[in-house]
This record gives sequence, C-alpha cells and structure tokens, in this order.
Amino acid sequence: MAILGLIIAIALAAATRNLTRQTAPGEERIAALVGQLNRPEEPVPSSPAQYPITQSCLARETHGTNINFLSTPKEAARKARNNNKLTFLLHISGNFEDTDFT
Amino acid sequence: VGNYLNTFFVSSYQKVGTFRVANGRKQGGNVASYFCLPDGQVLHVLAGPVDAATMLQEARWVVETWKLALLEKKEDPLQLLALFAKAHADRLRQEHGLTLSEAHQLRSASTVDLTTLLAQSANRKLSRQGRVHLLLARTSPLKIEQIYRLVFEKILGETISTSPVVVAQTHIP
Repeated sequence: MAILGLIIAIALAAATRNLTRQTAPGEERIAALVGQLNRPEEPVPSSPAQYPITQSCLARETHGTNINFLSTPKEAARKARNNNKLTFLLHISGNFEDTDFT
Repeated sequence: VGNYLNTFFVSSYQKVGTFRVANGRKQGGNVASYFCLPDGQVLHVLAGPVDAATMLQEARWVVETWKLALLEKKEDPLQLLALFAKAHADRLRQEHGLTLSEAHQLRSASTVDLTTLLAQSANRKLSRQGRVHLLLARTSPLKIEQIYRLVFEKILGETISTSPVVVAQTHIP
C-alpha cells in the first residue's frame, strides 16, 4: 500500500513539473499581466509587510515580464522617436511595480 | 511576446485606475494596451486582458500595417493614420460584421462626439474590441489623451482614479 502511494506521488510530481515547464520563464508574468488582471478569485497576500511595495524608478525594468519598461510614457516616447520605434503603453488599475497590486 | 515588443516598441505603463482587495480577493481592475506613434497618436488599442498569443498577434498586426504604410511612403502622420483607420474599418467589417461608410470620418472629434458614437444603438452591440475598431476607424487622428478615458470608462466599464489600491482588512471578532 505504501509503495502504491509512493508511485502515485512520484507520478503526480512529474506531471506537475511537465505542466509548469511548458511556458518559458517570464511568459507567465506576461500572461498574468495581459490575461488575468480581472480575476476575482485571485488571492493576495494578507500582510503588506510580507511583500513590500517597491516603487522603483530605475530607467528600465521588466517587472517580472520579458518586456523592458521605461518608467514614464514621456521617456518611452523620446526613446521611440530616437530609435524609429513605436510605443507600447499599458494603462492599468493598481501599481504595476508590485505584482500583488496589479 | 517580450522579444517582439522589445524589438519594435518602447514600452511604459501608467496607473489610471484602482481596485479593491477585500477578504484577500481582488474586486474590479482592468488593463488597456495602447500601440502608438512616439507623438501619442493611437494606432491600436487592446481593451481588457488578452492572452500572450493574442497580444503577439495584435502587436504583429500593428507593426506589419505600419511597415506597409512606410512601404507606400505614407510617412506623413496623417496619411499613416488614414491607412490605419482603413485597416480598422476592414477589421470591423471582417471580424464584427459592421460596414462603415467612408463619408462619415470624424476629424478633431471631441469626447462627446466619441461617446455619442459608441452609444448609437448599432454600435452598442459590438464587443469591446469591435468598439475599439469603430473608434479608430471613424476618428483619425486620435491621440491617447483624447481616448484613454473613453476606453477605460465606456468600453472597459472602470473608473479613472488616482486613488491607491484599497486593502480592506478582514475584521476578526
């Protein structure tokens, strides 16, 4: 009986690992960013002290995605003009710098 | 998605709304993604959350349409935006079944004009993305400051707010 339980546990662990490896690192945050913001069921940490808000003003941040974000739209516009690129701007509810507040 | 956006776009973000956390659950909140020229002229908007594949598909549509405009030497912003307006009208017809007459292009539209456009009975039946295509097909040029409130409040149903995220503490008697 114990051996059977052990086999089931190993099989479940392997299946879980395979599921989590299907997405590239960073893509989960992008999916979370663009696809899960309005989920009412998502739990958030009970204590703000557990996940302190980081209001970073570094020139370029990814905020857990694969996208490089500049801290202001004006800065992004200036860089886009200089590099002949377009701008991609997110308007969000909450604090983008903190994954628990977006 | 990240690599593609980093190649063709310079990205940033802005808090325009808020949400409430009660009993550990989020209430409200949304996102709008804008693809723009550096001067803030809006080329495309994704109203609401989308998955990574959709984000990539829409970003590619913007870039390929932009490159087509440059190929046709439509580098003047007004010509470029007119091409995008036509592209939005095409998508509105193909994906949402609504055909616009070219005679009704709005120029220098006010927020009231745009709100009225969205409120017309035929247009109220459109999905969020259909209404985005309608706005961008009918109104050109359109800067982000002219449209963001409309997108967030009239299309997404959220409220523009400078309030911080409110975390309601659970009261344990």
